Formats: sequence, C-alpha cells, structure tokens
Amino acid sequence: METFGAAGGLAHSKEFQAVILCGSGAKLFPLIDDNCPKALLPLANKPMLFYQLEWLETAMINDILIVCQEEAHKKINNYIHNVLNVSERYPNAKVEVIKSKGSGTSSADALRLVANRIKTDFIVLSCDTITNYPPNKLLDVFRIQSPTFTALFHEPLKAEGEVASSKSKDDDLIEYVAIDHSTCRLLFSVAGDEVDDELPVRMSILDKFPVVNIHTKLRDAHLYVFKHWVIDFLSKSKIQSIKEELIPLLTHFQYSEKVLKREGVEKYLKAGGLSYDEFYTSRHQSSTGGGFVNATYSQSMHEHYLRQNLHNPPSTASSTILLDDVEDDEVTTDFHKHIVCTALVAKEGYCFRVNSVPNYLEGSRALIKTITPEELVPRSVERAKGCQVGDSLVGDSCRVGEKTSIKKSVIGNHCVIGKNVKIINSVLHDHCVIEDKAVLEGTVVCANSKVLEMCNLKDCQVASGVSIEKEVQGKNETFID
Amino acid sequence: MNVVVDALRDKLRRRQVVGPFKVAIETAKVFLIVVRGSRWSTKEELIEIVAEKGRVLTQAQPNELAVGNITDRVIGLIREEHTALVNSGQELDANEYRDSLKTNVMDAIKELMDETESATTNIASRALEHIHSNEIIMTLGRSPAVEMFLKEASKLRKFQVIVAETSPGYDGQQMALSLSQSGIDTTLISDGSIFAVMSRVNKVILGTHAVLANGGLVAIAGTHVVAAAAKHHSTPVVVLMELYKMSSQFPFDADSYNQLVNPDTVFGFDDGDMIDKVDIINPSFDFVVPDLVNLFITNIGAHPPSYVSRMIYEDSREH
Amino acid sequence: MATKPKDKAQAQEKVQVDEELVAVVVADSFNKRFLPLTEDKPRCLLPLANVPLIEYTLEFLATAGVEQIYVVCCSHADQIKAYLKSSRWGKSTFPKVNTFVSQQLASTGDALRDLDAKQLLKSDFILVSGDVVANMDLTKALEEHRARRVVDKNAIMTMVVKAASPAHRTRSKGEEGIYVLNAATQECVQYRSLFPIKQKLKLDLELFKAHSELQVRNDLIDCQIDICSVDVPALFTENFDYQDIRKHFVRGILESDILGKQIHCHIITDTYAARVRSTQMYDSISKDVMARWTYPMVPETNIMGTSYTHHSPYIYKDESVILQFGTKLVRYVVVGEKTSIGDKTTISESVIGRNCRIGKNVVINGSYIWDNVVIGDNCVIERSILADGVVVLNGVKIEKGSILSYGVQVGPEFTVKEFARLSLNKGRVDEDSDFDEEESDAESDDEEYDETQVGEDGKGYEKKDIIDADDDDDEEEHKAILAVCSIARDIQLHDIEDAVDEDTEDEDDLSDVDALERSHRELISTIERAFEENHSIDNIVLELNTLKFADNLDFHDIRLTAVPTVLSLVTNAATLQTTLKRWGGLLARFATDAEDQLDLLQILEEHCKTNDEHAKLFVKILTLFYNLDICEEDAFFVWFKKSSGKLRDSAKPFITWLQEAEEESSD
Repeated sequence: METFGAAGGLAHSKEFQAVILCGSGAKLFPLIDDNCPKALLPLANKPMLFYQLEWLETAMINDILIVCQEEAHKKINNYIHNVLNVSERYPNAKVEVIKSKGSGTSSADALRLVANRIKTDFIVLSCDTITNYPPNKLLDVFRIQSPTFTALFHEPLKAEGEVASSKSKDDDLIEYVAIDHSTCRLLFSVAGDEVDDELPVRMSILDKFPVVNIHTKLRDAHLYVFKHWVIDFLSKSKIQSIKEELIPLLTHFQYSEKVLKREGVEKYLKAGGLSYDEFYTSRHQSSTGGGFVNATYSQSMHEHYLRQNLHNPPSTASSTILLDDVEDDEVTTDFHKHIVCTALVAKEGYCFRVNSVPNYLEGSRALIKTITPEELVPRSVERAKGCQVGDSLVGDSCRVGEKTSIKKSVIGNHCVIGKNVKIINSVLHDHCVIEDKAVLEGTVVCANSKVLEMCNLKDCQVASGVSIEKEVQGKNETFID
Repeated sequence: MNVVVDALRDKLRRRQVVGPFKVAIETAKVFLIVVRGSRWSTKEELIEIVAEKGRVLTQAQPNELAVGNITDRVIGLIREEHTALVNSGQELDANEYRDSLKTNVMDAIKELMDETESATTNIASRALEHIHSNEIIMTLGRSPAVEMFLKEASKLRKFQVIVAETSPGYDGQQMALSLSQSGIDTTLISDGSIFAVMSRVNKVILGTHAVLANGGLVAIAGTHVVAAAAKHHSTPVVVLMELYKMSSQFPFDADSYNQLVNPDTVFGFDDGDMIDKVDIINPSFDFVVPDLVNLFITNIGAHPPSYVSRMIYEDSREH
Repeated sequence: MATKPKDKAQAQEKVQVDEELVAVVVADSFNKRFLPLTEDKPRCLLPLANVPLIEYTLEFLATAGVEQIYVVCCSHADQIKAYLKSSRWGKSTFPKVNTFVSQQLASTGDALRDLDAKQLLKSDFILVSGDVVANMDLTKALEEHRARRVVDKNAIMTMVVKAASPAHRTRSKGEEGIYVLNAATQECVQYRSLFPIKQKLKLDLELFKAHSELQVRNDLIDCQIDICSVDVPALFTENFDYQDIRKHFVRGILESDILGKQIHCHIITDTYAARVRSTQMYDSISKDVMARWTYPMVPETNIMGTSYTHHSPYIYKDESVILQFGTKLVRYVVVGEKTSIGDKTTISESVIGRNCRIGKNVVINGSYIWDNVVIGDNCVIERSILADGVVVLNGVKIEKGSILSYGVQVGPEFTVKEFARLSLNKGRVDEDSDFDEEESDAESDDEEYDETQVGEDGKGYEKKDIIDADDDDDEEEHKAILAVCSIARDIQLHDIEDAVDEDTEDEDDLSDVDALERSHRELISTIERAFEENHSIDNIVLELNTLKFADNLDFHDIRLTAVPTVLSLVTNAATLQTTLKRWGGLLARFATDAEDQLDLLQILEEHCKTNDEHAKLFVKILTLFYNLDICEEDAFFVWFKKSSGKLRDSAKPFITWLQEAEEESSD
C-alpha cells in the first residue's frame, strides 16, 4: 500500500470524493447528547469520526465532505479543525463540514445536499462505520469491475459473554444477501420482512451466476462506493434512504430492463459521460462477469471497435454513435448492461457499526484487541498496588486504586477509580469517577459522571454528568439527569 | 508371477506408480520375482521371459523410460552372470547351473536395487566439487537429486538458489520451501522471468526424467526454457542423472517421449465456453537437445553429454 | 517363503474386512435415449472412443481401490455377462467383479431394493451407473463421507458432482439440477431439477434457520457417483415408490422432515467425472476424452490391448491404420485398428472404429463411427452416430443428429435427413424387454424398405415412434428431454428460458399478475420471437412444449394463445394467405384430432368476434384452414352444428360447399 501510494497518491487524488454522513444516532441514547454528537462519541477514547478519516486517509482520498445536523455542526467543525487539526495531520486532505437543515433529514437528503459538489465517483460512509478493512481491496474491485456501486458487508461481531446475549436478535432483522463471490457481484439483498415463507431466486440469475451464496448473517457496513451518475439520479428522485431504497433499486436494475427504463436511468448513464473505454470495460465485465480472461476479451473487442472507427472517421460525438451501434447488436444479450452491483465481505481486519449500545460495547472490545499492549496503558496512568488491568485500554492520567480489577474495558482520560473496584466489559468516558468497591459490568459511564461507593451496575448506561448514589443496584437501567 | 506383473502394469497405466525412481524400484522388484518364479532352463529362455515382461510393462506406460532401462540392465546382468558362471570353470549339470544362475542373478538384481536406492545420495556426495561459495544457482521443478545435492552443499558452503515456480504443477514452490527450510538462501521466481534473471546466475542445476541415448533430456516442462536461456547467457547447465534414468532409446521423434496430461491445471474444466473453443494442452515434459547441457553428474562420476552414448555403448558391449 | 506374505495378506484381510470397499454398478439405463442403438446392445457396452463404456467405469473403480464390484444387469444381461467373462475383469480378483441378473428391474430403485433383499451390502458402498467416465480420486470423497458418518449416522449419502458452468457441453441438457448447499458443510439441503423450467427457485425460509449461508449452484455436473451407506437400499425398500435416485430418492429425503437424514455433496474441481446420459453427453464426453480431460483414461493408454499413439493435435490412431497420402485428419480424431481411409478424405472431431473402410473424398465431422462400417466415396457425414456394420454407399449425405443402427445400409446418392433414426428392426422394441430379433433379420433381404427413407439400395426403417407413445406416466416430460438431449441438438433449454425471462422480468412489480396470464404472455413472446427469427415449426413446437410442461398448461391453452398470435400477423387478405402458409403448420401441430380441431375453430370464432378486421376474413381463414389441412371436414361440420351467431352464418356458404364437395367425392 505504501509503495503504491507513493507513486499514485497525486494521480488518484481526484479519483474519488468521500461523503461522511453523520446521523442522529437515536439508538445510542443516552450515550450521546448535545455536547457529544454521534460522530464524536468516543470509541476506544477516540471520536468515531476519527476512524473514518483515518480510513479515508489510508485510501488516499483527500476530498472529504462531512454532512451533519445543524446542532452538531459547530462541535464537529471544532473537532476537525482545532482538536484533530486536519490541515496538519492530513496535509493533502480537504475536509469540509456541511450542516443539513431540519432534524429529520434522511441519508438521501443529506447526499442531495452536497450533490452539486460531487464531481467524481464517490464514497459514502456512515459515521458509525468503523473498519480497517484494506481500502484498496474495496476500491480495486470498483476500479477493475467498474460497477455502479460497491458495498461492503460485514459479519456481526461475535457475541461475548452475557452482555452480548442480552442483545436480542429481533432488532437486527435478517437480511438475505446473495453474492457471487467469484465476481463480487451483489445479486440481490432482501430484508427478512419482505418475504413470507419462501425466498424466490430468479432462474435467470442462476444462469448467469451459477454459484450464488445467500448469506443471512451479513450486515451492511454502510460503506459504499458509487459511480458519479448515481448522484445525478439520486438528486432527481424522491428516494429517502440509501440503504433501504437506493441500494435495492440499483440491484434490481441489474436484471430489470423495464424498471431501468421506467426510472429513466439511461439518460443519466449517458449524461454521466461514460467515456468510451469505461463503457466497454463495464459492459464486458458486466455481461461476462469479470476476471482475467474476460478482461483480455474486452481488450480485443475494444480494438475491434477502434478499427471500425478507423473506417468511419470519428466525429465529435463518436462515443454516442458507438453506443447506439452497440445497442443494436446487443439486444438479445442485454441482461445486465450498464448496471453492475458488487459487494465485498470484510473478512480481514475489523468492521462493525456502532448503531446501538450493545454494539458500542462490543466494538470497543474489538478495538482493544487491535491496540498494542504498550499503548493500552500509558505511562501517565497511576496504578496503585495490587490493581489488575487486563485486556483493557486506559486513558491518559488515570488513577487506579488498590486491588481494583479492570478487564476488557475502556477507561477514558483523567478518570479516577477507587479501591477494590471491579470493571468488566464496560466503557468509561473521560473524567469519570468511580468510587471504592463499585462493580460495573457491561456498563457505559459517560463523561464527567460519578459512581459512588458500593454501587453495582450491570448492563446500565449512565449519561454524562450524572452521579449515582451510594450502593445503588442497577440492572439494565438508564441513568439520566 | 503374472499377477505381480499385471498389478504393476495396471499401476503404471493408472499412474499410481510414477517417477523414474519408484518405477525403477518397482520394476526391479517384479523382475526379482520373475527370475525366481518362472520356469526356464537356459539363459536365453530367461532373457526371453524377462524381455517379454519388460515389453508388457513398457507398453503400459511408454513414457516411463525407467522400465525399459531396468529391463535392459537385468538382461545385461543375466548375461554377465552367465559368463561369470561359465568362466568360473565349475562343472555344473543343468539343474545346478540353473540354481546358481538364479541365485546370482537375483543377488545382482538386489545389488542393482541397492545401487538405485543409493544413486541420489551418491550424486549428492559430489556436490562440493560443483558448488562454490557465493554462487547463484538456478533450478526448476522439484528433483529429489537436485534437492539433496543443494542441501549437501549447503552444509559447508554459502550460496544462493533461485527456483522457478514451474507452472502448472508448481513443484518449484515446494522446492523453494524445502530449500529455505534447510537454511539455504532461496528466491522463488515466476517462469516468465527465467530469462531476465539468468544473467545473474552462475550455474544451472537441473534434474531430469530420463536421458536418451544421444544425451538429450526428457525433463519437466520448462527445462527447455531454462536451458536455452542459460545457453544465451553462456551459463553452464549441470544435469544430475541417476544411472537408471539413462535410456538406450534414440529420439527420432522428440514428441513421442512427451505426454500430454489432464489440462485441468492449465485451465479449469468449468469454463464451458473456453474449453469448447480453445485447445488446452498440458505437456509433462520438454525435450532438451544435448547441445544445451554442459555436464552430467551421475552416481559414477561427471561426464560431458557426448559421453552418454559411449556409456550406453560400453554398457551393451560388455555383454 | 511363499506362505509368509499370504499369511500377512490374510491377517490384513481380517482387519479390513469391515471396510472392504464395495461398488454397485447399475448396468442399465432404464431409459430409451439411445434407441435404436440399445435395441441390440446394452448401453454400457456401447463404445466410447472405441472402448466399451463399462470399461471406463470398472477401470475407474479399480483405480479407486474398490475390492468388490457388483454389476447389476437387466436388459441384455447375457451380453454383459458374456462380455465381462471374456474381458480382463473375468479373471480379475482385485477388484472382484460379480454380476447379478434380474430381469424384473425397471429402475435404479428396483435394483437397490433387489440388493437389499439379497443382503449383500454390509458397509458403505459406491453406487455408479455402468456408463460413468471418471478419473477422479474417490478416496477424498470417501474420507469425507466416512468422517461425516462417524459424527452423524444420518449423513447417509454423498453425491459426487463436478463444477462446470451452466451451459457447459458436458452438462446433460434437460437434466441439469440446481443444488442448494450449506456453504460451510456442503450438505445438500435442496435439490431441484432444472426441468421443467420454472421462473424462480423458491427457497424455504426454514432452510435459513438451520443454515446461515446457503450456496445455490447451477453449475454442477451430476456424475452419478454416489457414496451410499447401507441405509440407502433399506430406505428404498421402505419407500417402494422411489424409482430414480435423484428425482425421487434425493428429493424425498430432503423434503420430508420425518427421516432427518442428510445428503452431502462432494464437489470435484480438478478431476473429471461424468455420465453418458444421452447422445448429447456421448458426444461431449467423447470430446472430453479426446481432449485428455480424462487422463490417464485416454485412447493411447490402450487398456483394451490396442496400440494407439497420440499425435498433435489430438489425433489418436492405431498402428495398423491405413491412410492415403491425401487423407486429412484435422483434430480430435480417433481411428481404430485396421481401418483404412481413402484419399482426400477429411475427418475432424470424430471417432472411427475398427475395421472400417472409408472411401475417397469423404467428409466426416463430429461423428461417431463404430466398428466394421463401410463408407463409400464422396459421402458427407455430419454429427451422427453410425453403429457397427453400417454401410454407406457412394454419394450419401447424412445430416446432423442422425443415428444409423446396426447393419443399416443407405444410398447410393441419398440424403439422410437430420435427426433421422434408422434401424433394421421394424417394430418398436423396448430396451428393457428381451425381444427376439430373428424375424427382423429374416426380413432384411426383402425389398420392402422404403426408398425415401434409406435410398435405392438401402436397408432399414426409419424409426419415428421412439419419442412417441409410451405409457410411462411422465413420458411427456421425457419427450421434451429426449428432444433436447440428442446429439447435435444445439437448442438449449436456457435459450428458451432467457427469452421468457426478458418479458417477465418486471414480475416483482406486477407480482399479482395471474399465473395463467403470465404463462400466456410467455407463450406469446415465444411465438413472436419465432416469427422474428423465422424459426422452423419444429423448433417452436419444441419450445412451446417446454413451456407447457413448465407452467402446467394444456394444449387448449397453447391454441388459445397461438391463434391470435399467428393471426396478429394478418392485416389483410393478402397477408392472410402467406401467413397461414408459413405458420399454419404451427396450429396444425397443436390440433391433431377432431376434438382439438373443433376447439381450434371455436377459439378462432371467439377471436374473430373480438377483432373486426379478422371477422371480415373469417370465411377466408376457414377456407385456408381447410386447404392447408389444419382442420378436417368433420371438424368444420361439428363446429357448424354446435356454433351459432353471425360468424357461423357467414360461414354457411363455405360449409355447404364443403358438404357438396364431400358428397361429390363419395360419389
């Protein structure tokens, strides 16, 4: 990656733009509030937005738009420019924070808001998508196959201990995702509530893609790479949700010429300025499924048409003329002509979404595993005798009391933890105070909160600035002001 | 007895016994049983029987030249022992003659098997004469002789080995792994870069499937590329050859010593369109003309290619 | 000294007695795809690249280390027995080949029930049919199977399948199956035959509860090699209605929950296995053998004691072959012993048997010519099968897809029409039954052969009834399969399907559309496409039949659609004539008896009631129907009697004329 980047960094800077969508995160209540918008929710002591920016940086994407709600705009802008200091940290990058109006804006609305700024193929990701999946793998699929979009899927984090089991499966609806892994084609994805007893699979799909894997465990990572024309299409349509409307519609386009016509996609495809080469590559990849053999084949086709061009000197509108020519003799095989949807399953590294409290806890644990032991507990931490810290991340300048045990947890900066405290599977944000003999299990304590002596909290959430009285016994509770 | 011959014939045909070494040992074993178990009274009869069985086995898998080589050797041994017996001056009646010839020939075949088994080690023992410190050596495929040869040399010398991966079987990859595990500085290259890398190589050391009477090689596919590249760069090519690989056949038609095996490793059967339209061939061997080889190292010494025909000639003149 | 190894062997045998590897070879196909070739010889003795098919199967099993082979024979059992006895397998002890004869068998199911009754199988066994060609490594599949059995006794069977692609030549057309597998364990959770065609594969959501990731595969070749546990024959005995191992047994096991048994798949990618299921497969597998996919089972391995040698590109000829200087063997050619080929003859992609004499200037392409065939000069043979002893006189042209059975003689200067099946036997003979062919031999000298079928000096009868008339319950289906799986039938089920799909792909959006109407639209589109591409009537009929099975329609439905569609081409009186001349045959094909024709006329009447343009032409249409023999007189009369209304009245003059004409002719 590094060698590649050194050579290709500049050349690729204009290849993709990225849009980070910062939603409201209702499911993360009470972890987030006005002071701490979702995008800045600390995850392993770093705001979530940090991870997306980091990922985009590895992907060598320098043109980044962050769309957030009005209320969060100031905070995020402040973080980007003053805390993170983007201009120094990523000197090549251009990061801009844009506020969307109204609180109920949908993901598609947010994209429409920045539609006129998007000039190239673009990446859309949600601010709760946390991954270190090698970006070049995703982008290379996009570059090679030249699909309409590439989506990233992930397997849900493995549930650990009791905390995880409390997460009922009901809120995560089953989704049937059909992927041909040899070509990375996403053939369809159907939500569990759309089908009754039987899942229908078109025979025509099976003819073109004889090996289809239908997954039920995969989750959409909300990380997509789109062709540029999609934004044009989107800005003219009434689509509200990217995940629930745009993606299914595009996948459906793959085999439904009629819907394609109804939606008038053709004109976007042409207006999108598919260059001559791109058109051929995409067409051939799409009709035959990609791969090396086909790549060479398309090359020869390309030459064939070039030769034709020699006979008929190209006019200024040569590309459109050719387009029409091709359509004429391709009538019978235009199964998936322009629309190709691809998907990858993140099998290496980590990939998850922080869209609920249990996921937040599991995500924190997953991140701990990726941090080196030296960094887990910095030197500035004061550790009293007999305290045990295992598989945990402890923030700067924390104090840990005697005989305290911390396992599989994240402790924020400047926390004070008393004696004989037990913290398991929990997350503490900055400036928390945990007094002696408290027991926390599967609990999130937000910034500036206090948990007094002898408390026993299990699977609880404590909002910021709250102080829990002595000897409170809590289970599955939420503490707010 | 016939059961044994048939079993080996089937195994040869079904490709369950492959490779010159295995074939040579199995053939010798069969002849041991043939000599012991068949009915004969004169050396001519015995030779006739052995030759006949040899023919059956050769036909089962004409590409395994070791069958023929061992047959020739066994026939030679019978003649030798016969001569020795006659010249010993003992007075023998027919039965005694038969019994002692049988015992002697069987002993000789066992000796031949021992020789076959130790051939590779013998060759390896000469490694230090041919590999010097800091040399860069290229090889391809996974020849047991070359592997042992290099490992033997690495005990005292430091040198670098470049292994071509040898598609489509990728034996070279196994070879590279095995060499690096025994501490040799090993580099694996793709077959396509053989020519480019050759300019840096000091010596090419190759194994072979068989050596024909004119000194030409029948060796794993890709050998010709290496040998031709070496010639272009005037890099010496050393071929390690156990004696049982030396065949008395003369290559009038180089193709006939080749065998085209299942093309699956070259291109999968699953792409129906392709296999309908494209011929896919997967030859196991290359025929390499003797001009491209500089030196043969056998278990009895090192010889130039021109000497091979002489060795075969001498072999046959003795009898 | 001699006793020692024997003792050892015995000791080993004792240890391994439980694991003795047993194979059951079902040496009967239980179908008629190879008729008339299988009238005189069982399918497993038919030569493929000049080696009887069963040799490939037995060689494959022997290579896999099978110790006991039970060959179950039914039709032509005596021939199989005699062959095995005389071949190298007769004396072979490893593997030991035993034959069982049972005349009453009608299916693989029966064969297994028979074996179960005999209590011969005591451990896991390999079930193959006698026409499998394979070089795969069975040990891996066996290991997998055994490992599963150790964990779960319910894993009763492992099917060996080969990865290919949907339209692969070596997939048996019309018999492709879709396998739904658990992606992790390769357990087969659903099996469905691709035929009859359906628009969608329906996956029960229950399946997903047990298996989080399913793999739907439409690219597998069913090799018909199954590793079965002893439970399998027992299950066949329990369920006496199971006949076919795939269609009944596998589906039965997978779809009924009561049994709780599991079937797994073993997918092979790097080795070869396929079964000669049809003449189309015979063609493909022959090519695979010549292209060396079956290595080491290739002609020059000479398992039959021949002396083939291999020359580039893919030419295999025996040492005793006599070629002329101008003979051209292009590629993919096998030529058997003592065959002589004349000057300027070109042969490509073909197999020529032993002792054949082929004349000058002959062109043979894609054909399979068996032993002792004589071909005269200037012949052209295209993608056909010529069985033993066929004589082709000078100047004969044999068009693609023909099968000439034993001893048939054609010519001189004659053309055998495409897809003809010629045989010396006049009557229809069931492959299963032991028919005495003596009488037909006696006839052979009589001069009663139809010259239009075999030419002036020809001997033989054209068999038209192979596809027709059988009391088998799913014979309807067989017919269509038979039609597509014949040699040189390039039409594919997929072609039909694709066409269908384009027109119904927006199904999701109109999901409430009545199923019947949808199938009607499919029919219409198929016919219209045929108009555009100017298909032959035969092909349309075939496609329509396929659709008919797929959607469970009857002929009435087809007529109901075909009439308006054909007439939609008609705009005025002039186009009427040409249209009906070209396409009227289509209607005729779907109205063969009086009742159907009556129905056709009623449909026509209904149609014309709604279409003024056609109403004007109604009488003209009737006349043309009569003139073109689409309907017979009686049908008109019955219709006239039953019908009423304006249109009927307008047809009165025509009917009267018809009646008069009939009276005249009867006078």
